[in-house]
Amino acid sequence: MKIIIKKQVKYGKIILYAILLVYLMGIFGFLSYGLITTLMQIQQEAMFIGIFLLALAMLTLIQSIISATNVFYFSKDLDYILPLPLKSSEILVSKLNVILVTEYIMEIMFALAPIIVYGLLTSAGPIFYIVALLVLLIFPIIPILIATFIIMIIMSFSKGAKNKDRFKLIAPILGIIIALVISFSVSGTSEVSDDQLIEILMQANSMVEVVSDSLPVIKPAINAIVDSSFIEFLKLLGVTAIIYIVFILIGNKLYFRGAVGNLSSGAKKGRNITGKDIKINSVRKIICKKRI
Amino acid sequence: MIKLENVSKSYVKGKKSVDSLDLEIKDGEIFGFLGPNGAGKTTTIKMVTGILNSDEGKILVDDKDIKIDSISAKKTIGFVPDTPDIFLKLKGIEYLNFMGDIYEVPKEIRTQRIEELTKKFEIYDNLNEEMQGYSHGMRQKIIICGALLSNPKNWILDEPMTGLDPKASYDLKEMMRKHAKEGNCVFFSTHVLEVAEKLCDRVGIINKGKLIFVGTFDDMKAKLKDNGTLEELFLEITQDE
Repeated sequence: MKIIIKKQVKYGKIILYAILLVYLMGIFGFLSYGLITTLMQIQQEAMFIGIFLLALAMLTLIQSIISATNVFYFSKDLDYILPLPLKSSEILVSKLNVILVTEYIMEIMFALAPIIVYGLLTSAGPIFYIVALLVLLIFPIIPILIATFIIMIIMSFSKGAKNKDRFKLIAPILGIIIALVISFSVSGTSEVSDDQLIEILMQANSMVEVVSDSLPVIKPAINAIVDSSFIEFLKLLGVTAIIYIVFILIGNKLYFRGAVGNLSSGAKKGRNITGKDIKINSVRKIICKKRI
Repeated sequence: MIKLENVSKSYVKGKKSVDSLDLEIKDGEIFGFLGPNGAGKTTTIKMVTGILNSDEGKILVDDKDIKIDSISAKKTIGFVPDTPDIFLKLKGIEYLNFMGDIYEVPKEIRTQRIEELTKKFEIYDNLNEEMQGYSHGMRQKIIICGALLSNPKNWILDEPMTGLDPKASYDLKEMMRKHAKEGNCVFFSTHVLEVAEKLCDRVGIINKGKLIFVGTFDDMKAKLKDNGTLEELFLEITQDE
């Protein structure tokens, strides 16, 4: 009986996730359809890929900041992994892989449908889908490395980040603020005419130009998908590989400095208590204080 | 062999959690590490196992410096932490295979060791279940099995008896005796003085980060007032500081 219930719960979960996936893919597919057809009116449909990749990079960056904090610093496994005879780079790479897998799942939800819709509307051949898939596999790596690097810097040098609850609370808020700023700067209003939409997309496209100067994956990724070009994909792969190696070299030192520091931050030297320290408080206040 | 030379560690400036610790645990010896809560036992163990870096001093495991030659030193260590709530999403067998992979235990030996250890600790039938469904004692047992799977030369166990049922506790003590008899090194922390007295060849008592006694229980008794119970001896030593 117990086994049957367990199986039912398992299948129930799978069905629920499948519905959620189809729903999300539907929404993003529909949105993409609107944008691509609008851009097709001015023969600028290729611009969609740039905007799409910029949005994907930002989403990956924001999500990775939250994941990197949890996976690299606040996961309970560090105390158990550090005594094992593992190279620091092995720990670093396996933790990066955890974030990468999460991002791949996110890509299935958010990125697959826009690419398929674009391919269908532009009557792309099979090479387009193969290259796009390869790009989607490589593309999240650099945003993940950037997010992880930012977190490593913060954790290595900031004492404030040692309060896990506070950091966990602030990281998502930061992520949401960044997302809101980006979304408002790109759109601004919810109901727009075709002309306004084109103008907004133009603005977004100029943002792609600006960002691609500092985020070296955007341009080769755009070119690889738009031109279905393996050479551009190889460029993307090359840039990613170089940054990955540099990251591992720096991260090795930076991570273990921060990680071991984080484990060390157990105690604070406190003064002796006085009569004033013993007081009756609201339980809700203390629980709230503990979180903040 | 585990050797600590003038090892110190501070979490906060001006307060040493471990202060100039000199200690040698020889091969063939069971060494018990005693002390009140917050005395520095776990910090010392964390430094010996490479979880924490010491601020000063040197730690050698089989003559290998844990900071410089950490991989080789760690390969000789089987470590049981003070809390067994680890890798809970894994099934018991997955965890043991993971440990076998890390310590490069060949498949044949792995099969034999897993069967031997898990049957001894009576968790063989639960190996195909996720560890998050295990009780505290069962988690402790699987962690011990994982630590001992590669038959490491140096056992470092932080409060290993906590949560174990009497049979498992007895079996573990027997295994510790056998391991030491075979010329290996067992270093463990405990609060249970009777366990330390019956099991250890020597004990070390740490208080406020300082090692205040090293020797056998007979040495301890000889040093202090006659006819005292173990608890009284322990209290006398730790309160004198």
